[in-house]
Formats: sequence, C-alpha cells, structure tokens
Amino acid sequence: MSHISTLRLHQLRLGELAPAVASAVESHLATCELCAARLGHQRQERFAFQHEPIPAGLVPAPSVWDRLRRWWGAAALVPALAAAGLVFALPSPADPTVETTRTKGAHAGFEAWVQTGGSVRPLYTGERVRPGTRLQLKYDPGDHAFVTLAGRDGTGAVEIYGTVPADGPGLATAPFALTLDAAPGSQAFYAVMTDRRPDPSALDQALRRDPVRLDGAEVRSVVLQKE
Amino acid sequence: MTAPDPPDTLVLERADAGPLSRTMAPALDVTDLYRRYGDLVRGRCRTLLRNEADARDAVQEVFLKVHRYSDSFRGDAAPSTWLFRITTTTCLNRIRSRKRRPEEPVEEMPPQVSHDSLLDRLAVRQLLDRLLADEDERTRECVVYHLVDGMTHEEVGELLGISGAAVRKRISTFRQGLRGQTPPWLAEDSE
Repeated sequence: MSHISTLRLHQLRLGELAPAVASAVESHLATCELCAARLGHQRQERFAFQHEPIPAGLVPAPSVWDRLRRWWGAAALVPALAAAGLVFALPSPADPTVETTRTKGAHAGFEAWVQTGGSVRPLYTGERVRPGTRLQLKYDPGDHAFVTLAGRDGTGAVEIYGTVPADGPGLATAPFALTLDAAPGSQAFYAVMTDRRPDPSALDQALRRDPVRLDGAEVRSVVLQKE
Repeated sequence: MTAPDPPDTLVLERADAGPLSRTMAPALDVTDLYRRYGDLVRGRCRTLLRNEADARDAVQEVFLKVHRYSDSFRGDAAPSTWLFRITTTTCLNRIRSRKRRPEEPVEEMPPQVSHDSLLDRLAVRQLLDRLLADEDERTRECVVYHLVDGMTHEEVGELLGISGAAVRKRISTFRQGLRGQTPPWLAEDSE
C-alpha cells in the first residue's frame, strides 16, 4: 500500500471511513512513520482550531436576495428588481464580501456592531443588550501598528481576545464574533492601539484599572449594559 | 481568543466538534461545516498557499462559496470530500490570479513548517510554480491530488469525475514534460 492520502487521513480522523477502509488505513499507520506524523499534525491542528472563535465573516448574513424572498414570498419579483438594478446595488452590512469603508488619515476608532434579524448597526456606550446578542467588533487603528482587543465584565474579569497587526487607517473587522450570555452587569470592550506589540502583563494590568491607560497607547472603548 | 476557557460572563463562539449528520444534503449549515471541517480547509489552504494572510482569506472564500453554492452539494460524498475539492480549486485559482498581477511582497511561511501533505512546503511551492506556468486546470488538479496529497489515480479520478486512466495519462504527460530536469519532489511519487 502506498501512503495514505491527506483527505483519507482527515476522513479517518472524522470517522467518515467505512470500517474495512478504516481498518486498512490504521494498519498502514502502524507501520508508516510519515503517515502517522501527518495524522498527528492534523490532530494538532484540530486541537488548536477547537479553541479558536468562529470568524464572524464565516457566518454569512442572509443575502438581500434571501431577505426579499422571505419577506415577500415572491421570488418572481426579485429578478425583475435585479434587472432594474435595484437589488444587487444594495450592500448587505454584514456581507463579508462588501469592503468596509476606508478613510485615509482617519483617527483611531472602535465600534461594536450588533446583528439582530437581518439588520446590522453599531452599538453606543450605555446601550442595553440582551443575552444572546451577537457582536462584531470593528476598529480603525489610525496610524498605529497593532490593535489589542479585550473585554472586561461587571465583576472586573479581564479577557484579552488577541493582538492583531494593523493594516493601515480605515475600519477593519475583528476576526471573530462574540455572543453575550445571560449574566447581568456591564460589559466593556476595549481596543488598545499601539505602535509596538504590547507587553501582555502591562496590558493586563492596564485593563484592570479605570480609566484604562497604557503608555504610548491609544485606548477606545464601548461599554454596554447587559439586561 | 487567547485564553483556553472563556469567563462565565462572556462566551466566545467556539469551534467544538459536534456530530454532524452524514446525510446533510437537504440543508448545509455553514457554521456547522466550519466547526467540523474548518481545520481541514485551513490546513489545506496553508499547504497550498504561501502565507498565512492568504490562507486566512482563502478559508473565508471557501465558506462563502459553500454558502452560495450549497445547492450543488448532492450528498453522495462526504462533505469533507466536497470541501477538499472546493478548497483546492480556490487555492489554485488564487495562486493563478496572484501570478497575473504584479507580484506583491508577501511574508511567506517558512518551508520547514510542517503540514500534512506528502511533500515538504518547498517542494509544494516548486511544483505549483511549475504547474501554474505550463499546465491546464485539470492537469494541475490531477498532479496536486496525486503528488501532494498521495491520492491514487483512481481516487483522483473519482474525485474529479474522470477515469483513473485519464488521470494516469495526464500525470504521465506532465512527467514527460519534466524530462532532463527531474526535480526532487517527483521522486516522492510511489504509484
């Protein structure tokens, strides 16, 4: 038997192979260091992947087409609108294929967007949000090189979601989405813009204080109230 | 998210390996597919593409295609097979598009970074460069599935909907084109 294909290794790991095929693959793995190492690599990747959030852009919102069909139940009407140039000219705010606005020279900024039903809008500090609300953080790093996104709940617990290299001025979308749970209290979100990758310890300490300040950093926040 | 466990007050959506129905043709849920197969797609993108940013974009592109074209999934093969092919096609198209544009400087992944293909990363790069320069789309697919992924001719044929003999012929023609300048990665072939 030659080596096991990459896809077949995945399928073994996923339990998608017929018993006889799985048995043959496992026999090969018992004697082939290369294939065993390849499977080991897949398992390591799976382990890391399981501990990462789902990027918001991978959960497509209903398209304008879908919404029109659902609202009016008249699919026949949509092609007519499309022909008139009325449908596909309307961008879906949550459609990841639509580029976010980029304004050169804009100051650093930070927004938390909420998706409810088919609409998407920014939330403002002080707004009340319900459990299960799905949030998407957006930031404009201005001229800073790095952005750290973090949160602090009503009990003071701090969570640093990650530091990402900035891609120049302009509104960018965080590579993950957040869903609020039912615990009451405030929930603050922070974007800490820095010119160097921040020291994790100093960052953690800064995020525990009010107001949040860190040397050389520009900090933006959105503080929401959970119902 | 960096911490392994989220605090109680805020729950990040996580990718957990929940069971997914094997008979899922009627309705493909993109989020479920991502949870179950996202690592497969990402690993594939990392193998074929040269930098992390490109791989990340390709993952997103793959799942957008899944969302748009889920009607084309007939359910006669495992979703992993369907996704593997979509991902491969997406990556090859991205590489081809990049070659058409003026080369942008990219931060390439080091060749020694491990992955799950039969060839090392440097060999994959050399192979793809060669394929993109001279070969048609179907031959590229045949060669990648066979040499990079280790599929047999029959497995490649089944995936692409052509005969194993047709796959063998395309790969043989590709080999003949390399005569006199046989690269090290061709020696990896065992079929």
